Amino acid sequence: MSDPYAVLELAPDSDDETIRRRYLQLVREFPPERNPEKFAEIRRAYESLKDLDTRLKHRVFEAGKNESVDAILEELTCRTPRRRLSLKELFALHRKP
Amino acid sequence: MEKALAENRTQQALELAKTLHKQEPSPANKELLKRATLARSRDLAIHGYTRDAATVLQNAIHLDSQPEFLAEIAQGMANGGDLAGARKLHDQIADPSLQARVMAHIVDEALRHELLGRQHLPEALHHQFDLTLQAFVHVEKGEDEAAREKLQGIGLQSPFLEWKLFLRGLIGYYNNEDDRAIENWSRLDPNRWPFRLAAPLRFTFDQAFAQSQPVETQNVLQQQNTRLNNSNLHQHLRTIQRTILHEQQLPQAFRAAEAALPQLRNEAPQLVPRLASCFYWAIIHHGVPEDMGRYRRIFGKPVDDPELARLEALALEVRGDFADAHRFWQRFEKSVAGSRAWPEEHKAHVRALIWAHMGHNADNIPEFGDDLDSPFLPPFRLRPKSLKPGPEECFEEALKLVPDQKTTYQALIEHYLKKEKFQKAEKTARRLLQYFPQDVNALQLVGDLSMQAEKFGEALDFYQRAMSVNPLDPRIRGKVANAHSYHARGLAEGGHFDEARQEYQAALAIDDRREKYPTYCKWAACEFKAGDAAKAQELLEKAYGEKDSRLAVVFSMLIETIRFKLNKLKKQFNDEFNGLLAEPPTGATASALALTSAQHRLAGVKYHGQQTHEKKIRSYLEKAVQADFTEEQLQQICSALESLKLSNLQHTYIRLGQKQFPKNPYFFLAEAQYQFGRSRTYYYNGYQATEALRKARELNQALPRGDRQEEIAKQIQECEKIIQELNPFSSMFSNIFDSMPFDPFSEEEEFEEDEEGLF
Repeated sequence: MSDPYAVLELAPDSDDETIRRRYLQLVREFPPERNPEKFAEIRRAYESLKDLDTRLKHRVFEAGKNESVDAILEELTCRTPRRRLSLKELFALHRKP
Repeated sequence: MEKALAENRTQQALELAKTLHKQEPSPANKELLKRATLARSRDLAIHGYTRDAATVLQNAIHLDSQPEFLAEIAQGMANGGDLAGARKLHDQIADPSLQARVMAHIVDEALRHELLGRQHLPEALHHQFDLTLQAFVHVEKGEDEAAREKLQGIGLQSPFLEWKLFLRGLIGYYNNEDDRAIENWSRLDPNRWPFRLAAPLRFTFDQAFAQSQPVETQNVLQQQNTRLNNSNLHQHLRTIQRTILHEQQLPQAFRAAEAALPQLRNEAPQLVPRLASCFYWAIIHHGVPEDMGRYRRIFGKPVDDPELARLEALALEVRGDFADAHRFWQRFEKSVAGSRAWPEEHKAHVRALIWAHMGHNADNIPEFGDDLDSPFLPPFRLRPKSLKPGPEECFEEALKLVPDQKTTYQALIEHYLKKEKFQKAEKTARRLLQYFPQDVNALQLVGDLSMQAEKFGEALDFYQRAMSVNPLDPRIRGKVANAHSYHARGLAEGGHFDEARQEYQAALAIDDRREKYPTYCKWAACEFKAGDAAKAQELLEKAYGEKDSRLAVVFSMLIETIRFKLNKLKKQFNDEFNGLLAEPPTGATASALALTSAQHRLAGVKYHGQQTHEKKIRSYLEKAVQADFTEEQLQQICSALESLKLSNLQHTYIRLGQKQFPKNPYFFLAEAQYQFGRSRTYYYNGYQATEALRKARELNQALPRGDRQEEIAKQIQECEKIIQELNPFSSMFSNIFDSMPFDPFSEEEEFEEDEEGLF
């Protein structure tokens, strides 16, 4: 699981009520019968943050543990403005390297 | 030839077709040759040999002048780059729709050659060709509006329509308007170039499209996409991706990170701490001390762990060095106190969590004392030393900082119970109840310990409080019933018979268990003591009626009459007891006797003649091995024999259970627990323990989900911890023994053992 705050799209200083409200919102949007994987991810994120004790435990012992370079690369690819290519460059992609 | 075509051996198919046609140029063979030619050409084109494909087609032009055939040839020639040849054939085709199809491919190829391709197009298409090229130039420069204007000159019937759709989708893609891109690109013809050009771009954001492609195509598209995003930064990140998970390559990963960081800070600064986390945890899992210096140099000091004390502690834990980890956790705890990274109002809580974590670590270090070495590792003492501060001090420190931390109380209670420090466990449970008066586990624990101390009234009070929280929990209700029963006994012994009767009635009312005959027996004995023989007899009849084993009832009555010092009745029941013991044993009686005896032992009940009774029951159970048992009866007997510490006999029944009920995980779990009981002797069989546990786990997983499955799973986990403690290298040998399946019926060397299972 990546950063639970990122999964729930919340700031790190969110309180119990905010977290719970957001969790319920997301669970309605991604119910288990329609999106089992996303639901499971949201649930795990919520379990890590649902009260102060679990949030602090997560920060002390788990923060960043599930981070991966794959996820970083994916995000970078998504966030980087898409490079504009010429027609020649577009065709060149299909040439064998 | 048909077989070759079916198996995609197109070269062979073509040669065969040519031979066939040469031998006999019949119309049928000509058709075969045409088919083989087209198949070969397509095969070559798919594998990227477009020129060769075009050559094959050129050589086949003479075969037929049918428009469809010529259209295929022309298309293939156009795709192979022979635009002149394709154009020539195009002009020969009379069918307008076929002509349009061929022209579309000629147009695609012409655009690929840009200005060089223009000459091969009819003059009527030159203007649209120019518009398309100009639109591409505008899009590349970011002049999207200008591009859209150019595209307006391309009509719906134009062979450049595909390119118009492609460009409109491309504009959407560059502006991150993925819906617009998909809307346009989903209308493209998969046989034409615009679709193929869009594919690697679409692969990045259109999941449905990506997943609908065959695996090989997905790999190709991924590679094309990688080339597309092949900036320096991406290259460095890919190097990190390849190297960061390998211990030997971590320095290389650091070098790539150092190279990537300036650009990453510029382009996506929010990703820098995430990359730092990847390295932080990589060091924990497989780094070396030098990596910490590299980390500091490249990423700086982490805000909440500037001395990297936490990193060191976690890394040492991974390597099993809990003693040093303990030191670093203390260092980290001190740093939290003075750190600005943690909000003031949370510092105490964080420090408490660290102390509790240290407490758990300390608690998990087994104590070996002066006993024999583990038979697996003689004579080396590779056992970890106890940590200082120990678990109690650590948990107490945590509670000093946060006095209402329930989990810490629970951990401390568990620790005391493990060490059999029952008074301290009770004291801690009472402290927990000050903050959490409705905590059911704590209430039950204090109740259990009060029962042990024979403070039955107090135990009843705590059990009733637990029951008020969970009124339907059968275990709590059973405990309340028990406490009523024992409290009643105490009252009866003091001559308070009316109060005792009320307690017995309350016990019966609450008790949901199937068998109430023990309570009837206790009450009957109480009535005998009170002098109400008629009432006593009535209760006794109820007991006999309920229980299918007279011997079980007689045994219970015998115990009660001894305890109440009802000597005449004692003799009567004793005679009957001995008489019934001589009869052939049954499963029901054997399990009832064992259970009753064990319950008294566990409750700490002592009475005159108890040892004799236990010996007699032991002999009875030895005889009863041949009887018929239900699964539940065998389980009860195994459990009871464990409490009575008759391990040899217990093992006999465990093996019987494995044989008769091979799908019940309980008997394999019991086998493992039996082996652990021998762990201090030479005869501890670690292999059998491990294998029995493996079997138990396997069978338990097949059980339907529920309380029983969870309870057994929990016990299996605890046993696995014990195995690890007894032999830290146990997992090394599991591979060797994998090929040797557990045979519950293997002959085991039996040694003379005493009652405690020790040699």
